[in-house]
Amino acid sequence: MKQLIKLRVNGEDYEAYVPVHKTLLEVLREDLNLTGTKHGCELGECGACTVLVDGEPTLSCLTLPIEIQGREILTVEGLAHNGTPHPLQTAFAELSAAQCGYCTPGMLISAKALLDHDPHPARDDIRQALSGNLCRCTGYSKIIEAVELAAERR
Amino acid sequence: MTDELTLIGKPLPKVDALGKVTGETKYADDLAMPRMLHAKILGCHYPHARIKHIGTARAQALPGVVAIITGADLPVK
Repeated sequence: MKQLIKLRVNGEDYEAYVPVHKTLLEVLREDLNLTGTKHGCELGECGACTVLVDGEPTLSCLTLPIEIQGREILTVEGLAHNGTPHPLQTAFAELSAAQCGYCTPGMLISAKALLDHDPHPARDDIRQALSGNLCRCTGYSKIIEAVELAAERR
Repeated sequence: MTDELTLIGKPLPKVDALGKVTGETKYADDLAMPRMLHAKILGCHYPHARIKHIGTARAQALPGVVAIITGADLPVK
């Protein structure tokens, strides 16, 4: 059964006519062509698909779009402001916190939610906030340092 | 000496770093091409089993299935 779904993503309104069981991750990637949000485990374990829904980190692979119509969804494509990268994006790039880069969009989104709640988090708070995002390249140190650098600059 | 070098000793941004933090970098799963098809591999459920028959009729009958390829389709055994 298909249904017309209205979503607000990165400040823009979208409509998609999709099967009701299609996940938010699939609709973002396949119907809205926003492929920055990554398809990882599809089980809610890896965090690669993390997006913000009304500011809260949400696993888009476990979310049905029909549940969140009208709410503000933010993906990695919406992090930059008027063409200027978010301080987290700049810090991740500078410190090589993105290695293969596949986990990076989810990491950035989780880190943004943290900094929005707590502009100067302790290292343990950063670890806790990113504990749902798996990275298989960096060993996490550079990622945590990048979040600290972004927090210092904000 | 250092003044003559343009790269060594200087912090330089990685050439692909910006794309990775903006979501613009394309991975295999992000590509959409004209006439692109999706493939699925089905492995045998039984190790060291002797293949007597692979029944593909029901899969072939599913809507949207373009081709099913098995060992019988390969020229070299």
